[in-house]
Amino acid sequence: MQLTIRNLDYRYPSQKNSALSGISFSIETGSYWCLAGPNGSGKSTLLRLACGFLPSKDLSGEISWNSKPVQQWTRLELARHIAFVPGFLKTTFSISVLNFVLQARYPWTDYWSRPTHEDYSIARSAIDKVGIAGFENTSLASLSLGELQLVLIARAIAQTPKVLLFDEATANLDIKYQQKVFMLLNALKNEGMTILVVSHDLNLAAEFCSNVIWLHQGSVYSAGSFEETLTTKLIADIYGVDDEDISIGKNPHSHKPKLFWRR
Amino acid sequence: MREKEKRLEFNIFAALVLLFIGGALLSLNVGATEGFDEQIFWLLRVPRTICAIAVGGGLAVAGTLIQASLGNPLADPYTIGIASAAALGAVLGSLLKSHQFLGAGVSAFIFSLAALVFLGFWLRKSFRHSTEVLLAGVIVGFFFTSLATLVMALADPAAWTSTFTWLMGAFGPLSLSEASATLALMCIATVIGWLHWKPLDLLSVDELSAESVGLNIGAFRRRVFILVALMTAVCVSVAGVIGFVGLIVPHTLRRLGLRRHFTLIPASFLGGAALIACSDVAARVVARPSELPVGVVMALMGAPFFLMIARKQER
Repeated sequence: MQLTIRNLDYRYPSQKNSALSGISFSIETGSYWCLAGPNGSGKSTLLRLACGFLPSKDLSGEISWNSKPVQQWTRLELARHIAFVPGFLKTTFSISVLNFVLQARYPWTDYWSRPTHEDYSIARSAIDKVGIAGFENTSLASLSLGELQLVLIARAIAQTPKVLLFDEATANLDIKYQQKVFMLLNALKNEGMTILVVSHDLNLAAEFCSNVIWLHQGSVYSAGSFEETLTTKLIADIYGVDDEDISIGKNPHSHKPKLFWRR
Repeated sequence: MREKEKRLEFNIFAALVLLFIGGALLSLNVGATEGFDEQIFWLLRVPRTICAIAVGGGLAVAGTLIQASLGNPLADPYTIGIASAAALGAVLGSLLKSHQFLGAGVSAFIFSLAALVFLGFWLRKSFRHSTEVLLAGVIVGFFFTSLATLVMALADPAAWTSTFTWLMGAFGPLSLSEASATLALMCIATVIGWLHWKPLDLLSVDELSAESVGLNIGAFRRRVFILVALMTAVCVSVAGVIGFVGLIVPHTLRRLGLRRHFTLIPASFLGGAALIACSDVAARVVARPSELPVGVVMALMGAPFFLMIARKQER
């Protein structure tokens, strides 16, 4: 699945200023992109627009999957191809991990039908894949944030999508889960999934993601590989930090770019 | 583990059926008078028992539906104010003196639906903040209850006591056919709600994750609102404003282990019916020979329960 965005403008109906303006980029099938930028730069809005969650009457420009505009997809069709991982969960009423992962079969089953044995085995293998097999019957409410993040990924895998859009992938996670999440996404990419992940952990994203889109105040500041785009000027411009305070080096082991604080 | 879950669900259902039958039998056999009088039995107790079952079941299912679809554990037709709106509608409708039962019901439906739509517009997407919904619900509820009281006081001062009792939630005299119609309506509405168990399961956990598997939340909520408004309107025009049934029943059942709406909705109906039937018996017996409004009995039990859940939510 290929995502193409051209001249996208979007304004929330209740707000005066545009949340996104003049956005254009495209993501090839099977690539692993990071969407980065400061808080409030429009990352989540962009993801939600791409999933078709926000009413299309407020947008101008084009968002299309496999050159078919997002407005022409039904919600269920989109859900069969694209899984959105919210990055947090409200859990009004808690259910077991297995039942929650099983919910991902919703777009693939009839409205009335009960889950089949196949649905159960898809859900179980997704749970195995992220390495939380012991938690099947645990209630969502009693999981740690890290475990919950893995459950959310398992649910996305059980949705058997071609694209994974991941909001706030590693917020609130300790380093073990941060690495685990990015490794899992890498494994999914190697299976041919297209992945777009929002993360504030630039160094971790630079290790794993092939490319990055930098958003700044609702527009694309630059896009491309981390090696080309990650500069002290960019960080200073979009995050508003003093460029005297930072430097860009290399990870001595993987030779990927790495952001350092000078003090 | 699946087996264990199934056995638990079966046990809960068996207990509920027993409670339901017990409540119904009790309600048929206990009254202001001792002994058996065939006329009293058929003219008063049978319709009243059927009503109690219909209203209790209906309100409990309405509560389950609105809690799940709003993702708000403190929502029920009473706490979000639509029961009071329906009461005002019923009062206005019966003033117009069309066919009492039908006229009051239709205008109650219009009012409760209007209240829900109003809440929806006022709160926009912020249905997810339980405190905001409750705040709006309390205001709406007070406003409509006061309006209904005002209208009744101005229109018919002589009937003040009886109408006020009705507003507190009480089963008035209904014919057997009216009672049966109410029960039939509630059963149909419950089945319709039950058919939506999948999206209810999705929304009761989390909104965004429901959206990501392809649920159109807006369209689904609109459907549920119409259903809930209908159920509330019928219940209120039959029995006045009975609070907290829609809160106590689903929460208790969830606590016992019914997590999926496939089982929770039919269980709510049985539980609500049993609860109201028993409360109504208590309302008849406690102050014999006079009668308490059943809403008073429910509020006495419901208010502490509500506080308990609200406190738990805060933590």
